[in-house]
Amino acid sequence: MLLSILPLLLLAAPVWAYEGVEVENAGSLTGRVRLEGQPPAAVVTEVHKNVSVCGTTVEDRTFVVGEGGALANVVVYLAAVGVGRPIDLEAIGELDNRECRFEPHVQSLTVGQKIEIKNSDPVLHNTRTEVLGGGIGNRINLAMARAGTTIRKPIRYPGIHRLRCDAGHTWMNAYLLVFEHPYHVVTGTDGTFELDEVPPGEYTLMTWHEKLGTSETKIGVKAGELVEVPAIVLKQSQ
Amino acid sequence: MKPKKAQPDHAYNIPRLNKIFFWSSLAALLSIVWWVVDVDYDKPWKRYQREFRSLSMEKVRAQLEREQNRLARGRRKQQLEELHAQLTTAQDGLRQRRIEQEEARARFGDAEKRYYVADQANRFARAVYDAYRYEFETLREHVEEGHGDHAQLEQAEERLHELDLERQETLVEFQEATAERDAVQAELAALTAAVDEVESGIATLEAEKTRLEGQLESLEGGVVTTVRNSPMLDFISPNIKIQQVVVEDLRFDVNFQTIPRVDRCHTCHQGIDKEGWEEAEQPFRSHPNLDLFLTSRSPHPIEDFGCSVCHSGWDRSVDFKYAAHYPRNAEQREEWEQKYEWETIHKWDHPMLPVQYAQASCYKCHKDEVYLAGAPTLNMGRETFERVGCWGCHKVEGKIGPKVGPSLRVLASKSDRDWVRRWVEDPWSFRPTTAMPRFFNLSNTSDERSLARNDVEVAAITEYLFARSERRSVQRMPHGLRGDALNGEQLVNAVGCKGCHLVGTPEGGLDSITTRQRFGPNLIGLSEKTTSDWVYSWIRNPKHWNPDTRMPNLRLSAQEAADITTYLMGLAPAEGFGSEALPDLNPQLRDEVTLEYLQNSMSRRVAEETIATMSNYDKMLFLGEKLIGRYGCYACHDIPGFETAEPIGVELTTEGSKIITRFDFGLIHDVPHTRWDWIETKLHDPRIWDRGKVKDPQEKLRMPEFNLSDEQITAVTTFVLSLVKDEIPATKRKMYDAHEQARNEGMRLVSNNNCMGCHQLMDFGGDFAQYVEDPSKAPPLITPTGAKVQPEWLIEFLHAPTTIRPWLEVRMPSFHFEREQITTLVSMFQGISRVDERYPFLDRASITPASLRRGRALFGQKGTSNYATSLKCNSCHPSGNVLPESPPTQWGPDLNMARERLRPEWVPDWLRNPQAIQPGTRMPNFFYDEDTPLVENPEQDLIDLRNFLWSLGDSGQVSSRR
Repeated sequence: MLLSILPLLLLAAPVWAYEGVEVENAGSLTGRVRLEGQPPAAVVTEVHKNVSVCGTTVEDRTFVVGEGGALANVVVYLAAVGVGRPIDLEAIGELDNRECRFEPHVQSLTVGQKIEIKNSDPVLHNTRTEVLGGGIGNRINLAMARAGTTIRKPIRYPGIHRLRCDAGHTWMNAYLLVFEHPYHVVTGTDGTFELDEVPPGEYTLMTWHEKLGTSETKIGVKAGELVEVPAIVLKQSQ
Repeated sequence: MKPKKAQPDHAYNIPRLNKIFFWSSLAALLSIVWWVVDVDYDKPWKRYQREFRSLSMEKVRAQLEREQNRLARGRRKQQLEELHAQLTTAQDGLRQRRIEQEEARARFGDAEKRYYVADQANRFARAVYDAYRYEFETLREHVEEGHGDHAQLEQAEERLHELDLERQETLVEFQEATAERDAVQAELAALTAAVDEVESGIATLEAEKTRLEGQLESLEGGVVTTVRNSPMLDFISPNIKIQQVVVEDLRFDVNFQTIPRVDRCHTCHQGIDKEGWEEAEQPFRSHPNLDLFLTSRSPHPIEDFGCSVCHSGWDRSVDFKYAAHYPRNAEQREEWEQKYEWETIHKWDHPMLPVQYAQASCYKCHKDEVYLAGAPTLNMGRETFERVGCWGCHKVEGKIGPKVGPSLRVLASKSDRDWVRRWVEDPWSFRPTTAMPRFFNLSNTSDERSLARNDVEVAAITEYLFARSERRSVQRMPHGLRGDALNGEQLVNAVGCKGCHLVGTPEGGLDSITTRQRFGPNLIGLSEKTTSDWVYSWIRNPKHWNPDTRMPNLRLSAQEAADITTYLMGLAPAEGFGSEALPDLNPQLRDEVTLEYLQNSMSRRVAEETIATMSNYDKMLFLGEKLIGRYGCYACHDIPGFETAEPIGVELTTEGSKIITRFDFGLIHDVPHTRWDWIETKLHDPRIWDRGKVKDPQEKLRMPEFNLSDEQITAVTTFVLSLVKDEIPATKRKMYDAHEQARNEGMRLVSNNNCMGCHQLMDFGGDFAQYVEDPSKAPPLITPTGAKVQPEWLIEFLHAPTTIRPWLEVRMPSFHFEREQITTLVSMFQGISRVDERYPFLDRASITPASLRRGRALFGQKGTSNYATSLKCNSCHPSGNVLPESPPTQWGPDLNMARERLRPEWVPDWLRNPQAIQPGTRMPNFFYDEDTPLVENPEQDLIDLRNFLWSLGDSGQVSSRR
């Protein structure tokens, strides 16, 4: 729990708000995240509500591991960036409630962008988010009673948002990481990531995973270069 | 050689005298210059003002630079460039029409001339007419009284008429001239319109820059300002000058008379009421809470309240030392002594309150507010003062309530003698966090003889308590009931025990928890203290053992109580407790002490005779009673035989106003002579003032030592300092309206029963939330209760709580409030919500069938054709006799209760944005996302749905449609 709150400090701390400028001589970063060792067996929950839609069991998706330990659903981001490429305010994150699961399981957005929450199921869902370590209040708690309902919601609060559904679907969970700058990305099933248009300079490259917490790597970005970050290997604590 | 000139007229040497005069007048002149320039002119406060001015300039310059940069970049730069291009075009356009413009200007000049002439003529004509009218009126009165000449009056009337005509003529001319001038002006404006528009666009964009430039200019001043502030001239109109606020109705008591406060603090503390100086060095730093103090938007603007009413100090002084600044600690004292040659000012009785005690002043006006927003130290001090029972011995006006310790009437049924002896002697060794103070083996009773005497005293007290307490039979744990410790632990963590009790040491240490979380005793070590049967019986029904206890009933089942008992009985006391054998009683010492106490009321001879007739047991009982009386144990515990005993301590009702010479510092010289140092020192070591003194045992100080952290001691000191006799006039005191009075009264009950250990109320409490992982599982915020529920329902609920929120593991206990207490609480909730309509109702006859139908469709019933488009409220809420599919722990409140429980206007309010009312609630927003509607016709939906809810509870309304 504590582990997962720690990066909050890094997310919420910048004194100066982010400034978007045209980046000259930008560089890029690319790399891959791996999990060391075998992932724990996925927890299977028995379903007792809306079985016709949700199915009889659901499997949790904390560890989605591909070939060679490639770890998906890891958010890779730069710590405390003050100036960089402009934030794309038109970009919209999608969050689907489908077969009583949140899709995608992990995503990242920037303050000012919107998220479009959708219900594809013919049952009631609600999407409730709380910011970990951010006090008791919900940041979002929207009901979607009808299949096909979509709601666009502006994202205003940085931090790690934990998503839940309270309509009897206790297994539903997902994470939304919100940053004040645009340098963040979620790893795919091959564990790779790429960050573009990074102004040259020294950075701390962070990774966040819902169970494994954070890791950090010092990294330098040079003008016009593509930096290959050495493979990031995340260890499971005992 | 010329003979020396004779000086017949003078007996002394004139040239020499001239020299003396010359030099002495030069010295006098220099001393005047020195006096004017250095002593009189160069005051520290002037230096501060100059420094503040230069800091302000730096700040404005930086802002200006930022603003200029902002204008020179991005969108604004583009806008400005565009505007300037437009300006050039517009100016070119104007240039082409120059002749036209010049001609218009010339006409405007003429028109303006005509206007001024006409204006003047009109004014003169009016003035002449007015003057003559007065003369005419006087004349007419004169003539009517029969004194004057009628012909003269007629003549005068004619003249008046002429003047009136003249006045009207000039008026017409004036109006025409005005119209002409305006017309030409409009013509001119039309010519320059394009240019003006662009210029005003530029001005708008550069408004901030212009403002900053103006500010900078006025700060920089220039030659005139320098002259204004120069020596000798600075009495005329300097802009470096003493600033002051005179507060007529907040007065200083200077013995035998009172004087208004003249606060000059901001002469040096220049940034105190301004934003933007939060990081500045003193004396320029902004006040840390400008929303609450000093600013015009705050409830305490500087012009109305000044500074010294809260902070004390010598209001009129503008010198660091003489303002009676007072350091917050020894470190600061040393720093000040070096930097400002600081020392205590003895001739002023009101030294400034060190900053950590500043909140003490809040109660001067806000005493009735039990929890005061913005005064956490004071709140903590009051809570601690009440919690550890200070007021049991030290009377404080207005503080009454049940005794804070457990009743000792049934002690014999609960504990054994050895445990009580150990506990009385050193309670902290059993529970380091207990509120029970230590009475024995303290700084004035730790010599060898006292230690031996303490053993006798403790044994005697124990003997008395056991002799006088009742051995009541304990309701045993039912036969065959087996407690499960693991389940017990879970229950203790979940059902709410931890709202008031600690179990062991908390993870983050004692500083991480609030006073409310230690409201009850720490639950460790019960197996040493009592039996499992007693614990079982106590938690099932605390009132059985002590009708006055504040422990509520959690309505535990037999099994739950057994589980909890098993868990608690397995928790060890603090390490080392009971490891030492209890000493044998010294009979000789016992007799000595008994004799000593006997002599308090009889002569030595009679005492000796009496003791000879007493058995050993009698002696112990006699001694126990005397000692309980001496130490005042009954202040916190209900003890048989002490029902009417008076408190033993000094009354503290006006302790904060007690003059310093009335505090006894004994022979201690290293404690500064201030009220706060005395109180703090006393709380750290209550017997310290006996140090170095020769005293008989009964003369010794007897206040016990409380196990308080430094933070708590400072808080209690702040609270005691807040108990003053200052009379604040009604103009400045906080006046409470009926709602606020109801709130204040109820909050006392809330505080006494520790409701806020679990519930958040307004901005306070809700400590239990830290034990739950999901915020929706915390006890509900009860601030909106008054606006939410119907009073009759609330009365019922407070009387006998029922389950409202099935997903909560934490339970609302039964407090068994008395009738009056319940109405006080209901009024409090209504007061907090400022509810004016006390008994709300919905006229159900006014609900149309159509509305009901729509409401029902919105609500949704499984199996009906329109279920897919409904809101599916049944997914979570039981209603009618339809239950949600999921287990009850995932349900929402039963909506069959709505009609009886909720205020009708509340339902739409709640549904509009539940998150805003109950942060962390599971109830999602259906109708609005903040202000954006999520459905087509939200307001109508809300009313329809509410109307439908009001039809629930009519014998299975929902299911009857099936």
